[in-house]
Amino acid sequence: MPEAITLARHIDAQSARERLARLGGANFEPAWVSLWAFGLGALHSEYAAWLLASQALTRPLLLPHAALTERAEKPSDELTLDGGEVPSRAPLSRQWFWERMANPKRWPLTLNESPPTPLWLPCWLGYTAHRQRRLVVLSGLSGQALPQLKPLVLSELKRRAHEGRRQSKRFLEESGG
Amino acid sequence: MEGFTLLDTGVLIGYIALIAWIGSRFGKNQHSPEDYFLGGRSIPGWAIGLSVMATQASAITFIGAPGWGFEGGLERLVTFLNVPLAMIVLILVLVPVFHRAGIYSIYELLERRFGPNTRTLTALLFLIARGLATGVVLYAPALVLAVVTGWSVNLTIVIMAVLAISYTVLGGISAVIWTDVTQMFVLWLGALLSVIFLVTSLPGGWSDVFAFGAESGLFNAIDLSLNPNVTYSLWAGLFGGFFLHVAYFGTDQSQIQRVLSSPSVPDAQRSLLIGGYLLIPQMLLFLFVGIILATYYQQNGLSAPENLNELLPRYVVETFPSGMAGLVIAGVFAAAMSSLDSALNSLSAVSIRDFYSRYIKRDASDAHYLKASRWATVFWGGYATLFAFFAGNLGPVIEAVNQVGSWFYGALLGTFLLAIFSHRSNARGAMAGLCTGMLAVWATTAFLDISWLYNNTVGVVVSVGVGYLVSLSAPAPSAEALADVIIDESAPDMQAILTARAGSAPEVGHEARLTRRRCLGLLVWFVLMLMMLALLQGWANA
Repeated sequence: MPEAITLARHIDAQSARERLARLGGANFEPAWVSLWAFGLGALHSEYAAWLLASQALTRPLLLPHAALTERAEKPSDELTLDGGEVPSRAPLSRQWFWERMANPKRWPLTLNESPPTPLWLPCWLGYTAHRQRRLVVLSGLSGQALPQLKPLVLSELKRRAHEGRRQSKRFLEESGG
Repeated sequence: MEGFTLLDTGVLIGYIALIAWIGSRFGKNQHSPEDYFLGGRSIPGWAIGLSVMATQASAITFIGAPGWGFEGGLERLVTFLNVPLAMIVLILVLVPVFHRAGIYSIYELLERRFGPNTRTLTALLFLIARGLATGVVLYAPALVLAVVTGWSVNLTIVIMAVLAISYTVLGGISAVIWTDVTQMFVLWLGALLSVIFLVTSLPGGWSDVFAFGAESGLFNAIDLSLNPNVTYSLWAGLFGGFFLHVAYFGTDQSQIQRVLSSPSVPDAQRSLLIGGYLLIPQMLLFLFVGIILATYYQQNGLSAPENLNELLPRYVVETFPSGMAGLVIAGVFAAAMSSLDSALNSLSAVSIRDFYSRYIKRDASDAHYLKASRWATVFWGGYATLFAFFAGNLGPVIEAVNQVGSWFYGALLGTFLLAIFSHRSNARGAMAGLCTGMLAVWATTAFLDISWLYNNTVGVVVSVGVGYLVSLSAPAPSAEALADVIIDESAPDMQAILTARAGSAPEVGHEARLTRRRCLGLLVWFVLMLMMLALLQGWANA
């Protein structure tokens, strides 16, 4: 399997702060979500865009950049979330076909045959502080809200919290024993 | 009385050729993915919003609304007065759910929530309703062409249908945003020039219009009658028209498609906002054109054409300077073609995706589905053509489109509301609610003489009420079925996790929330419009 690409974060903390403020965010933090990039392109041309998908995503995200620009450093101390396994190509291709058919402007772009590239997508997580805590996921590339990623991020946060609790319980048991 | 001159014909052909060229040059072969997915970052949001409006209603507004104004003045504006309120509901409720679910067609949400039968039935209802409404949309440019050429309307309907089906099958005009915006301005320019030419031709100018309008009660937009039989009372507009527009903009795939494909929720909201702010002024402008035409006809002792839809096209052709008439008629033509293109495209896509690929030919190749979709376009073009022959008998075209929708959309909206808000409702309840909701609308129109604007309210109330009660007779839905409508983050354990994470994350600061600001703006706009109409009516009756 090829090494995961880490996409450069274009939206800095100040921009994310401003955007999240408009969406009701009270606190925020950077995060990374692992996804799989499938190339899209017109026949006999360079990749024109990418579909970012995983088995946990019901609809892939469109990444409208010709090239996946990589940053030098890998995600380390920031929150990293596992986006799930690589999805099968056939259903993804069929999904994209329906999207092309519904929108003639997308028709020339077809799913490329090359294997998917694993990548880390930069995000900003915003937490609102109204009657209930709510999560807002912003793209670290464009600053757009990505509600499609919310279920995935929430389930990953939950899994991490449970894992953390299990580890501390085990630690307490071991240290007590 | 110049009529449609050779120069006008040249402008008409040139304009359409130019739009088609721009569409094929910058629409189909564009290689910048930014253009594919984001409409180009350099294009301002207002242009995107205007483009949405242009494909929605501009051509039939141009043709239908002056007929309304001529006949009843501003009374039918209440049908649209509720649009800002409808947009608030869309922005706050439907758009976030649709976006989070990550769906291509909104009927998919109903399948995940209520099972495949509900998806099939709702998609079928969309096909029937949108197919019929497309007939009205087809009738509109055919009527314009008939006025211009002097041919029979039925012949021009067939010509227009063949033209529309051909270019949709060949890939569509793929109008780019700026051509849509141009069309919008051409139509507004046509209406404004009509106002100027008409008013300057009256001896007393505006004072004649206001005197005639006040004397004839044409400025009475607000009827406070509680009688449900009054078709255009304020209450019919607010409680009936409101559901009509929530259903139209929120549950019709051809309308919500752009919202679903918007890159983000704020982008989707923006396109709805433009409609929320501009639909009322646009209707007001075209209704005023009708009132001015009524004054003009009365002063010149003219008799109105039998078909009021012909009023404005006929006036434009007969009065505008040579060349200008061609431009305005071309604008109507191109805007209608753009609407037809997207309507036939969405009908064909839903036919293949929701029916053909699920029930007739599963797992066929992309090429096979593409071929099938072209045949589906031809089929829906034929279906719309048949209905277009009858569209002229339904009164002003804009009302015809809304009336067709009102037969189905209330029950459809009720099913969506049930899916989102009632976590106890299930497939049995949804199907029962949907069927009884439509039956109730049919019974209302057949046996009661109430305003057609209430049809949607009846559909929503009956489908939600029956749907909920019948749901109690079957087990509650599984957590999986509720995944799209229940937000995990509201569960207590998730709240604790989010609070813990937020506690250790930096603060954002305080600023007014964008969505709240946008909704408040729409509410203020609604109140302002209502006050303006009340003041106008008060002045006219004083």
